[in-house]
Amino acid sequence: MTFETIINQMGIELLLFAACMFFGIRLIITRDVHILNKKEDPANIKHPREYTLYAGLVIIFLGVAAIIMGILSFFNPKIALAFIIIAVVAMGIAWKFIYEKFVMGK
Amino acid sequence: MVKTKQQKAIDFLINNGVIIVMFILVIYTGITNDRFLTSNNLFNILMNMSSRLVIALGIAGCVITAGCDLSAGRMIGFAACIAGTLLQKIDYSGKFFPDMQPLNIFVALLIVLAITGAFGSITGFFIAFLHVPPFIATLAMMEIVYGLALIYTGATPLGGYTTEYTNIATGRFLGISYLIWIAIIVAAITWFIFNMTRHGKYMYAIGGNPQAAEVAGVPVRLTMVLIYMKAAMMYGLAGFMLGAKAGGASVNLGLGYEMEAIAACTIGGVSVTGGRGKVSSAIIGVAVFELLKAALQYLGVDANAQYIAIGVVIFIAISLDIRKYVAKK
Repeated sequence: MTFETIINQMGIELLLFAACMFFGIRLIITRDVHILNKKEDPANIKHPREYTLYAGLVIIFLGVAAIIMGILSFFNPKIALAFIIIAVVAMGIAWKFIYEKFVMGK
Repeated sequence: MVKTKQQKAIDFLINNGVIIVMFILVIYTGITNDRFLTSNNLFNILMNMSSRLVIALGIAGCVITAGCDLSAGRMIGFAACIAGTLLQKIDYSGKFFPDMQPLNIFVALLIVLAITGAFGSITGFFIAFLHVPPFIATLAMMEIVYGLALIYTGATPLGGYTTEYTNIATGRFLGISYLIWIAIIVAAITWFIFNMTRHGKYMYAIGGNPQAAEVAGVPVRLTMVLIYMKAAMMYGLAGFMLGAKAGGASVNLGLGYEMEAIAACTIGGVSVTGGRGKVSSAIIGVAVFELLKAALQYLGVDANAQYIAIGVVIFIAISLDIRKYVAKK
C-alpha cells in the first residue's frame, strides 16, 4: 500500500480528522464559546468552560472516528459506513447531553 | 455618528471591492479577447451558472441562519449517481441495474429529491434538536453521504443516459436551455419563500437573534429542519442537472462546490454572521464567480493558478463580510 493509495482512499477522512482536531483542540485550549457559535453570549451559558471542554472532546471523537472509518474502508466499506453512522449518532446524543447539562438552565 | 460623503464612498468601495475588481477584470478580458463577450460564451456561462445558482440558493438559506452546509458537494455527487443509475439506457453495456427499464425522469427526480431531502432533515434534526453546531453536523453528514455513495455505486463511474435525461441540458424552450429555465424557476420560488412566507420571516429572525426569535414564538427547531431539508433538496436538483449536463456521474461530482457556493453567497452580500441576504445576493455572487472563472480561462491563466485566484477571492470576500459585522457591532 503506497502513500498515494492512502491519500486517494482516505483523503476525506484525513481532512475531517484535521478539521476536527483543529476545532477540538482550539476549543479545549481557548475555552471560547464563540468558536462554536459566533452569536452565543457566554453569559447565557451555565458552565461555559465545561461546555467548551466536553464539546472539544466530542469533536475530537468525531475526528478519530473518521480516521477509523478510513482504515476500515480498506477492509470492508459496509462496516466502515455502519461504524461512522454509529459514531455520528453517538456524537449527537453526547452533544445533547452536554448541552442540557452545561448550557441550559441559567 | 453621521458619515461624510467621502467615508460613505470609501465604505462602498471596500464593501463592494470584490465585485468592482471582478467587473473590471471582465471588461478587461472582453477588450483583450474577442471571443469572451460573444453570445455563445455568455450562454455557456449562464449554463454553468444554472446549477451553481441552485446550490447557492440552498446554501443561502443555511447561511442566513448563521449556519453552513459542508455536505452540499457530496449530496450533489450522490444525487447525480442515484439519478444516473435510474436513467440509463436499457441497451447500455455497463448498465447499473441490468434488468430495469429506465424510469420516467420526473419519477427519478422525485426519488432523488426525497432521498436528499431525508438526509437534509437528519442534518437539520442534529442541529435543531441535538444542538450540534452546523459545521460539525454537516461535516459528519458529508462523510456518511460519501460512504453511502461509494457503497451504492461501488465507486464506478456512470454513463449511457437516456435521451430524455440528457435533453434537460441540450433542449431549449424559447431559445433558452431547460437548465437556465430550471434555475429561473428555483430562484423565483426561493424569492417567494424568503420574502412572502412566514417560513422566510422566521429564517431571518433566527439568523438575527435565535434566542429572541424563540422568545417571540418562532418555531426555531422546525424551521431549522425545514431549512436544511429544503437546501438538501436543492443540492439533489443541482446533482440531477449536473448529471444531465455531463452525460455521466461519479461520486466525486460536486467536490468542493459547497465552498464556491458559500463564497458566491458572501460575495453577493449574504452575511456569514446571519440575518442578512437576498436571492439577488446569491444571483450576483454566482454570476461574479462564474464570470471570474471564465475570464481567468480566457486570459490563459494556468489551471492551478486559477484555484489560487479563486481561493484569494473567497478569503477576501469573507474577510470583508466579517469586517462589516465587526464594524456594525
